[in-house]
Amino acid sequence: MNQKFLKKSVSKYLKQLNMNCRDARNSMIVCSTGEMKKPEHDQFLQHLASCSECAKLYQQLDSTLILADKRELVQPNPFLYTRIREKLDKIEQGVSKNAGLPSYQRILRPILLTLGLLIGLYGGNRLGNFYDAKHQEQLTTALTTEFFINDMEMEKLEVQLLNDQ
Amino acid sequence: MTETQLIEGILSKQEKYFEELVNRFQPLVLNTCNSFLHNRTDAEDISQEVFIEAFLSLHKFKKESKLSTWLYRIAVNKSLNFIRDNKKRKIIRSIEVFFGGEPKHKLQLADPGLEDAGDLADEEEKMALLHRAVASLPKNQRVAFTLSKFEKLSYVEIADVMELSLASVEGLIHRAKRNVTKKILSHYQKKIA
Repeated sequence: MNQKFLKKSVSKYLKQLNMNCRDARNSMIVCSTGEMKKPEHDQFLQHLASCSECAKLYQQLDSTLILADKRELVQPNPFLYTRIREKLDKIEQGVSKNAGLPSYQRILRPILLTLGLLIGLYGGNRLGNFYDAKHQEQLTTALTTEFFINDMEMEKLEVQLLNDQ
Repeated sequence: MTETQLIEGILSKQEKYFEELVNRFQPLVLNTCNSFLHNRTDAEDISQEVFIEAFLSLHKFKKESKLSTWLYRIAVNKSLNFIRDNKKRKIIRSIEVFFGGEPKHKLQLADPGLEDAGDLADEEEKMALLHRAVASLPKNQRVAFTLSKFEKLSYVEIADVMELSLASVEGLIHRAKRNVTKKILSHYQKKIA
């Protein structure tokens, strides 16, 4: 048991001694959030000293994160109150102009909408029926004229062939 | 003039009290909106809406928290709503462009990918990268991180504004820091590769 623990600790220590770029990049996140413990931090710094690519990467990361502490202050606008007052006046005028309108709208609008819908449905239905009747009549007339003219009865085929000869 | 006097004065429709409220809290509201929007014009527009909302609903304000906390809350909500609506406008604009039309307006809250920051000047590029990394965070993490880092509010104040426990705020800020760092790191790693 003890041997196993010892082996594990030694391998962990050796791993820390040889921090590679991948470990270093993972450590950058931990280091930036301030959670890194002392031995790991030392190894991390040692790796940065020996690897220029990781050092550059960490420098870029650090210089970007540090900007979060830099506060962009916006200067107050001396006309802000006047603009707010104007908007508020408009809102108040709108409210007084439409004073009594909400209850009127609440009752009348659905009634008018329902009436409009019913009239539309009734009108559509009537129009559809009217169109169908007329259409059927026209069709019947057309079929009658086309079907009952029998040319063969008037002039037989044999007669026509003899005439052609 | 105390906060209570200010509130009572506004509720009794005395103009000077509302003017005093706007003047006193303008820096707080304007800077909070700007921390989320990173655009002065938009921040001013949203600040106006914040004060109008405050004026119209001051009667609902329970004096359990400070007036500044209440104003912070309105400013954060209005700013987040603005960002959400801006995203919708952005979708409409992309549809317009897809069908061959020219975009009618340029969005000031452009949200290019993290890779597109290369053309900006060094510090501006870094600032833009940071803002985009923060903007990509989940809503609560973004609010907590912004109030903590950009607005320099204490964890207790953030907990009051967000109506969360102190532990939740600590957790949110911790996760936000990790996520922001990861995003920035992956951007630079891609640049190196």
